[in-house]
Order: sequence, then C-alpha cells, then structure tokens
Amino acid sequence: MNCFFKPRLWLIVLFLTIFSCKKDSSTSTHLHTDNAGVEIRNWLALQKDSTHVGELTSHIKWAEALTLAGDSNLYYYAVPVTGSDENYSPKKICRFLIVEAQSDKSQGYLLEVLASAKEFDQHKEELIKGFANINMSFSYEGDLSKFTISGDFIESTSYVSGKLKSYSKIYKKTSSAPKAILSSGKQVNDVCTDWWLNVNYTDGTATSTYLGSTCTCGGVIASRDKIGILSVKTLCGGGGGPGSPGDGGDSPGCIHQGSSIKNNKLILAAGDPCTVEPPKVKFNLCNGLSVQQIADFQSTYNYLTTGNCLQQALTVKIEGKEINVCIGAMSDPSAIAQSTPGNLVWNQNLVFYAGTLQEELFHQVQFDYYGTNASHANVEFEAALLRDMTDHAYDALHLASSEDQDRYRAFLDRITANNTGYPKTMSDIMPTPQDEASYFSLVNAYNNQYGTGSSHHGVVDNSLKPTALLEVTNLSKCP
Amino acid sequence: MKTILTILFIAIATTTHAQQIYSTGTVQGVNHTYIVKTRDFPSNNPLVSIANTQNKTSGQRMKSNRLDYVDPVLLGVKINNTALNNIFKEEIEPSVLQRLAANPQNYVGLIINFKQDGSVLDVTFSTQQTSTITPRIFEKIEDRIKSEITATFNQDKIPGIGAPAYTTFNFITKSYIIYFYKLKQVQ
Repeated sequence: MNCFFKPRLWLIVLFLTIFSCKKDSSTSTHLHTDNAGVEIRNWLALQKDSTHVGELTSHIKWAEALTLAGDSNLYYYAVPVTGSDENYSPKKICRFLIVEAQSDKSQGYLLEVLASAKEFDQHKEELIKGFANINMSFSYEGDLSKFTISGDFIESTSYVSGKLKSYSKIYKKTSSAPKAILSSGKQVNDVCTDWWLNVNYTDGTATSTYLGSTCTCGGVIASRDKIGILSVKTLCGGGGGPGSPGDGGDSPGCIHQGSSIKNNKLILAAGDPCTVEPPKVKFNLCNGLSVQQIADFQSTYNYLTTGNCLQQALTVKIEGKEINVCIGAMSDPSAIAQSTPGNLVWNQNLVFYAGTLQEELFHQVQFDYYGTNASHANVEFEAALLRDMTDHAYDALHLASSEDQDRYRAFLDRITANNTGYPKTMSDIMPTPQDEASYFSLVNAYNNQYGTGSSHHGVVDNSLKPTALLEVTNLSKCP
Repeated sequence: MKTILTILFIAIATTTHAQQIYSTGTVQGVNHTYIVKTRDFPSNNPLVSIANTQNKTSGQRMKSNRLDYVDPVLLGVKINNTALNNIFKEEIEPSVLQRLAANPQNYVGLIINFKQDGSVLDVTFSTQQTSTITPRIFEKIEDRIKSEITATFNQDKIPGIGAPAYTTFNFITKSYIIYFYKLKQVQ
C-alpha cells in the first residue's frame, strides 16, 4: 500500500489525474508518457549501489511513472515508491523516485512530500517539481525532502501558507583527527567529518545542529533513521568487517563515533576515533546559536579535549554531564560568559575563547563540590588559578598592585614547582598555616582588584579551600 | 702590608659584587636610580622589587574608564617572548648566567606596563635578594626592553562599548618570568 493510491480509490484518482491533465495541458508542462519508466530504469542501471537499487526497484510502482516538463528543457521523470509511510494526520508522506534530466545530464533522488490528501491530489505536479519554490500557487503547509537512493538526507524545504519558510541541508566539515594508535602500535592517519544540519529561515535567521561524525578509520556506513536524520556508524576493522587501511590486519574493533542527534542535543565524540567510547558530554545547543557559533564552540571544546594534561583532565571530569549552551546578553558588557549548574550562557557578541570556556566548564565541577552559594571571589580565583596553571601565565591578578602580582607569581611558582608540576593535595597548596593564610590573602587580593561595585567583587570565604582544583589535577596525567 | 690590604680589598670588592644583596632603599645604575623594596610575603627566597625611580605608573594599578572587570583574554597581551629572553641572555655575562642557571629557583620576574600603542611604558623587576644581577645590568635590560619590545592586544570589540578592551585602560600590564635554567636550555 502506498500513500493515497489505495486500490479502491483508483477510479477517483484516475479521474482526478485525467482532469488535472486536461487542465494543465494548456500550459504544456505536463506529459504522461511511458518514457518516464524507461528513463528511470536507465538511470538506475548506471548506479553503483546495487544493494539499494535492488531494494528500491522492488518498491517502485512503474505503472504510475510520469514525466513533467520544467524550464529550459528540464524534465522530471517521477515514479511513486511504496514504503512504510509515516502518518502525520491529517498529512502523510508520499515518496517518489525522481530523475531530473537536462541535455545529457541527469540526477536522481528520492523525494518525500509531506502533504494532505487534498493538497497532493490537486497539486501533485507542483509538489514534485516545486522543490525550493519561493511561492507555491496554493496555500501549501508541509515539507519537501530529498534523499539519496541509499536513504541519506540531502536537503529539504518547508512551507507555510504556500510560502517558503526554511531550507535545510546537511553540510560537512572535515578536520584532521589525532593519529589513531592501533593495538598493534601502528599509527594511522585519520580524517574526521562532522555532519551538521543547517536550517536557513526566510526571515534571515538560521540554526544548525550537530548530527555526528564519521572518521576514515575503516569502512563507513551511513543510514537515515526513521525521521530522516542522518545516523552514522563507523566500523574500524576487525571481525571480518572493513579494515583500516594499512593496519596490517589489526583488529582495533568497532567505532561508534557519532549517532543521530535529536532535539538539538549535541554529542561531541572526543578523543581517538579508533577507540570505542560512549559519548562524553551532552551539550544542548540553543536555537539562537548561529552556524558559526556552533562550529566555533565545537572546535574550542575539541581544543580542550586534546589540549594539555589539565585541559584533558577537566573534560574527563565533566563527563556524563548535560550542559545547555546558549548565547545571550550579559548584564556586564565585558563578561564573556555566565554559568549555572547545567547551563552556560555565552556573550552573544563574542567568540568562544578556550581559556574562558575552560573556566566556565570548571565552574560546573565547582558546583558539584561547593553548590551554588559559594563565595564568588573564591570560586573565580580558583578557576583563574587553574587557567594560569594551564597556560603557565600569571594573569589572575592582572589588575592588582605589582606587589600582589609578585606575591601571586611566587605562590604559583611554589605550588607548581616553577611550572614543572601541579599540586595534588591540599598540603601541596597550603603546607603550613602561614601558607593557608597566604592563599586566602591572594583570594582577597583577587577580590580587591575589582571595585566594590563590580560584578566580580564579593565576600571572601576564608574556609573555602580549592578542592575542585585538586579533583582536576588528581584526575590528570600531569606530573 | 699595602699589598696584602690591596689584595684583601679587591677580594672583598669582588665578593661583594658576586654576592650582592638587595635591600630596601635605592641603588644606582649608570643613568638611572632604582628603588628597591623587599617583598613582604613568605618565601624561601626572599624577594625584592626593583623599579626605576622615573617610572610613571609607580603605585598605580591598571584601571579602565569603562570596565570594572575584564577577562585577561579580552586584553590578549602578546609579546615576543624569544626577543625578551634574548635580551637577558645577551646582557648578562655568560659566567653569571651560568651560575644563575645552576639553581632552578633563580629567576627574574617582570611586570611590564604597556601604552595603548604597544610600546613599553614602565618595567618593574623582581628577583631574589641575593641576585647577582647588578643594577647596571638591570638598567641595560630595561633600556633594551623599552626600545625593542612591543605588545599587541586583542582587537575584539567589547559589546556595549564598541571598542577593544585595552583602549579603555590607563595602561596594560603583562606579568612575565625568566627562569635562568630554562634560558640555558634554549641556548
């Protein structure tokens, strides 16, 4: 059974089709010809994907093939394809295999039409060849989506009141991944491709959703899930499956580097693509993020996951968390970001800075240990301290007096053995009561470098020791 | 007797030069006078700050006329670290440098205040009280830093202000440190 072409409706459909044919024939854009079936068969015969071609062919209703004429000698050869149609009452999805031919060039794709029975019956031809029309001739409410014959999403358009509302397309961003080390000890060069669904709205706004990644670490299988979002499985040698090029028969196992993401949930698959790892951190990206901001965020986060030992430890520490990442206006115009448990709001007019993102993600760790009512001065100083330890910098007290800066530098050099190691215990930071007092004196200096009206000025808690920082250094592989 | 006294005097003078101990007060370079202040915080190696008396920002803190807080990344102060290291390597005698490098604790800290055009406004040194670097050497180093080192800043405009953060500050500070054992490693 397919769509509206139920057998008992054949007569009605036939009548409507003939009626429609007569009405449209005056415009010379509508042809019924057996030639459509021939053209489509010829096109299918040229496709190398024999598995999908065979499966598709068994679902084609050849008797209903039709030819539609477009502009500039462009012809649409279309034929209905049966399948498990989703019912979005009162609308349904109809599928067509379409071959567009112009001169000696042709391209084929599966077209899904989401429309009501009335819309489809009365405007089938316009829906079939109207992809990306700015305006439909009727008040169409629905979607037109193109897929490859293997089921991969290509692009789609969405209409409201007959007007184009949005255009969606998957795009990919290829990036070099770290060299994967196979269990044999060999290294293989990997290239990962990140897949994004980019939606541009006619009102000028845009959204983008990260879908997943594939890596050239062996064979790649991509398939579409039931709602049309790309699903990616990556196999990486072993078990008789596709082998990694040049791995000499090594069996590093399967990879599941990415998967379909729904409802804007972003899964960042970090680390060695040849390692079987579950998704690490879920970032829920707000709709307001632009394509550039999403890409910027992802690359910045990825930078941390592959950064130095402290940055990597921090990203491990936040594994399992789910964090909403949004952009917005800041009450303090120079503030880059604000964090609450599970939420990160980034200044809408600033790019993602790695050091600041590190601080904000560290705040998520601090929330676990100190709650949300801890002294602002203490937690900010601790976060700035971790950042300086990471960067081998002395910036935390950059607005303080030169004496306080010297004092901070001496303190930082002491607890890091002149940038050669990191404190692992509280006694590494404050071995004596005098050192403990010195630590809190620095927190005070940090606090006092900001005026009393500053959003960063607060009340120092002389009992809140930097426990969260030690949680990160202890998790790290740093000396 | 005269000869013995002369030898003793030279020996004492040489020893004093090699083991110079800085303490609160002033010391003299060739053209400049430097204020020395002992740093009053716990340390196994008591420190002093050494600052030219002509420094324009003495006792001042970096302040913005528009911002009451700024993330260091928004200032984005960048300098040529190699050029700065080379100044130290070239101005300190190799034998002195060798001795300094023998102890990983030996270092010179710098707080360099820059103008908005990136040129150096003031330099303040900090080092161990027992540092063997003479005021004359600090003076040479300071002169070269002022003539050879410039900074660049983050040009991102601050929302709500419409200008880069550094343009709103009286001066822009960079804290830097020279470890002599690391200097030796990169020689």
